[in-house]
Amino acid sequence: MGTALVIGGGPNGLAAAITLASRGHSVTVVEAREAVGCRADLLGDTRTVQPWAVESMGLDVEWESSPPWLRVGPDGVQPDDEAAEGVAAWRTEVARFATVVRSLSAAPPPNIQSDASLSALMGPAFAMLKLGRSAGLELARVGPLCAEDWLDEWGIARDVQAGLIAPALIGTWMGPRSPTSALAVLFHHALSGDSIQGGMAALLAALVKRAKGAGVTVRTSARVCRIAVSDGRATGVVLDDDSAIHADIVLSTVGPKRTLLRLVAPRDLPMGGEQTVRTVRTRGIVAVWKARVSEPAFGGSRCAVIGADTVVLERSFDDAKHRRAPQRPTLLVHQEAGRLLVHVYGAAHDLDGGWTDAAKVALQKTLETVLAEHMDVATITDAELWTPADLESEYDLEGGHLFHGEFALDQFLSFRPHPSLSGYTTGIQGLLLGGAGMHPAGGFTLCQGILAARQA
Amino acid sequence: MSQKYDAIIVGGGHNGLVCAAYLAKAGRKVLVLEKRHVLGGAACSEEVYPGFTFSVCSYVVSLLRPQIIRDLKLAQFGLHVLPLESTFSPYPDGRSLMRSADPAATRREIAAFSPRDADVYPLFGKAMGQLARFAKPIIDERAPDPSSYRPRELMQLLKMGKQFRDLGDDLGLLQYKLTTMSAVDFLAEWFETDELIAPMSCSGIIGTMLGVKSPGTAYVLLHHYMGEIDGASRSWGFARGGTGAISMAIARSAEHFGAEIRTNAGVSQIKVKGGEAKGVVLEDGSEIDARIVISGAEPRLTFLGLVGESELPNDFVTQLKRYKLRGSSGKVNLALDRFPDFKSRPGIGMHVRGDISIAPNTDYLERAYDDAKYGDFSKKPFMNIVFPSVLDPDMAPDGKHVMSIFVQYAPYHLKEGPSHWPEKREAFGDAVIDTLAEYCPTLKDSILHRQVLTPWDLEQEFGLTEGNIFHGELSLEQLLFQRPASGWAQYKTPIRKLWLCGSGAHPGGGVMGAPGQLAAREILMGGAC
Repeated sequence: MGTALVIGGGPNGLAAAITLASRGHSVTVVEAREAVGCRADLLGDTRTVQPWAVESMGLDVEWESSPPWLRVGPDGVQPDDEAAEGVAAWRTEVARFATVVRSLSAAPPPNIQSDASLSALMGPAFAMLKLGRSAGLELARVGPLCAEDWLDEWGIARDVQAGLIAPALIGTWMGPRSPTSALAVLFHHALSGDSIQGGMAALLAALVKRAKGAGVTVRTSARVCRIAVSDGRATGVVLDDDSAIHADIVLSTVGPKRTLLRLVAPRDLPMGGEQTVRTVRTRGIVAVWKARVSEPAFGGSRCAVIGADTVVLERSFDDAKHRRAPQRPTLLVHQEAGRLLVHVYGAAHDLDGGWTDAAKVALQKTLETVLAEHMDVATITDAELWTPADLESEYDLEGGHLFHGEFALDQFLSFRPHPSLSGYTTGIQGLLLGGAGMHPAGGFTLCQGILAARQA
Repeated sequence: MSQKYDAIIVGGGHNGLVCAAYLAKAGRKVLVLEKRHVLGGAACSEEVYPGFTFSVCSYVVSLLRPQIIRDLKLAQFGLHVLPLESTFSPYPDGRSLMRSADPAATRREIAAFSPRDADVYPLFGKAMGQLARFAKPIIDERAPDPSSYRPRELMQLLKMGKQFRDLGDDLGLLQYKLTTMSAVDFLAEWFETDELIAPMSCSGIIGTMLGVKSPGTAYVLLHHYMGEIDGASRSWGFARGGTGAISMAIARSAEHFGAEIRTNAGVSQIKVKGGEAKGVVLEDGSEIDARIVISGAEPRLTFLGLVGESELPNDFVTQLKRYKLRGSSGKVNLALDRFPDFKSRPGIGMHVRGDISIAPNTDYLERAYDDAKYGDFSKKPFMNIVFPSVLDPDMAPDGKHVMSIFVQYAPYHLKEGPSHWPEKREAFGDAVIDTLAEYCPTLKDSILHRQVLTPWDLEQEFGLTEGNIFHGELSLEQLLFQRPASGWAQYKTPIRKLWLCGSGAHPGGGVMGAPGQLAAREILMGGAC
């Protein structure tokens, strides 16, 4: 077995490294920032992490039942949403599809290119058959719906809906009234299960420990500026200090667009490859805000959606759609040990006039106004805000999109990010893609790095 | 006991008439019952103002199936379709863009905005033409039922699968993207000029309560290219005498084949006994029996209004109740004293011999949609305009004109409730005229008469439930084997001997005639009458 180099020291990069090492490769991870973690710093929730992924690496973590998403409406924290009309029945409906959705996440998507063997298509066909005819048809009906229409059918009130829909939207470029948002909601909830005790920090620590144990070398503050390709084969990378690292396999977790448009020279891409990758949509609609609080906010809820109802949620999306400064963003709050991590839904990546200092200050003010309605803002210290532009420049997230690519019908399953790339291979021998921009989409699953590494 | 017919058709819209004509041609004794005083349903022409004929609702011939024109000898019965020669888009800043059948001229027009887009435009047309060839059988055949194991269904699915495979990877992906993406996202993969993308994208939203940036709206772009491959039959066009002339030609053909047609004969009930349709009850209380009943009315109206919930399986009622109608458009028809020049391109040239889109940019279209999303009509709406009198001078007195303005969005579900439309009707009309006056400064002074139709009016007057012009949203989950309900997409219904033949059945709305034709084919094939 030869040498392997993993670009990006986020959770997927580490997972890819562990998997490659366990298969006998000598692995180096290069991370541009001073510490590993990367996207893990930006995501507060581990409920969509797939147990099979954790088990396959033998990570030393404990599971606990996930804290409920509590909605904070105009009347404060709403602890009874789960008991609201229709919610329990709707959850049963989601559970009906969960087996299929989860089993899809455990394998590469079926190859639908014309060179695919018929047997490759049998897997999902079989899963659908197992699901039953009526459920299969129902999935085909629900998928294209607007999330709001779908939950309306279950008689769920629109304020309650906001708490169920919002967490699924941060990986999309959609509002609750966008067709196909029902599929995003279905996938998000079907992938959700128990959380990791100690949250993202514990997961990251377990990944680092396991990687060290497997003999993986981790280099931080090392930015890759180019992937070396020779005769259609990746031969290593060049760092921004001009030093070169040779590797037989290069596995990038920084996103398909970043990798193929910025790290690979256009001449090294296969014919039409550049155009293919350019069409991948990565429009971020989320800003990230972090702070400390001196006393628990929102009644101590660990996960809270601050938003009145689906109309407010849709208006948040409208702001992003029209590239306006967010007027009334919907906030998704994660609270752990005196720290808040907030996803500000409704922040356009391509804000009119750009994310200037003034625009950033204005967003900070808007946030404080929204928060002040529900908590004592005097308890907040060390607040820090990343606009989508900051996420792009500091975390290398194309378009500031937290998942390297929007969840959309034409960018999921065998289409993620594009049919020719969905098998984690790139048309350049030895170059693999393994970040969040790959299958499976729908949340932070920790699957992509492992599935990509298995293609080596 | 009243006279016995083989089939009664509820509703004398163009689909009901097509179905009647095919059945009559096959020797069946058919009766068509129309509630209004004129035939055609939403495809009608009326002299609303003395000397001026309006295509009151539907205003273009959209994909009228060529085989229907041939089979029913519509040309012989007076159908004459005049081609729409161009698509013209004026912009508020005084620029404009005209796309026409002349490739060189279109190229020059687009190149003024972007030479790159001018290069791409014919390539795009070619790719769409190839996809249209693939998609065409879908509107010319009934929808297969993927949940059935019957050989006929499996064969049809296999055939579709093979055709899709034969497209190859690139076109196959393009077809998938076309089905799932938003019109704007899809076009933005090809073009860079928003002024071009905007008017192209709006064909994807006509009649739907969606925006040009809503996923699933790209598909309808294909209809334009389907028209092109129908070729000489010119399925996109304007019927001489207005849209009602199409319905009249079909009606004459149906009568020629022996069908009986009654107007001012509204059906108030479809009689059902033991799960089987027996006939109809008219609004005047009289009853007519027939071997089968075929409804051209919208599905929810047909079943919940004319049949009654108690006769129907629960699951079917659930499906009908969640069937999305939510009309989103209105219509303004003007009688004009003189032609209102466009500021950006005065005169009566080629640019006004086609359809004209007020869609200056994609943000404009999305803002128009946003108004509707929250229950209001668009302050600055998207409009699609035709001057029938330019194409057919008989539509108005000498030197005078009729102007047909399709307006979106006018949501049926106002935030105050749909019944508040009558009091908002004139304000809606004013918003339309005020917006248009920015493009045609002399318009206001030329208006002799103005007819404003809101979705409420379309429901009250034309039986279009919730004002939906297509008898149900053309959204992905309401197409093909799910139109109007899963398991009931092949014109049959849970009531034996009751069939559907309107736009609420596959392949949906527009003046295509396809649902009427396909329904007749299914009825005759199964020997139902």
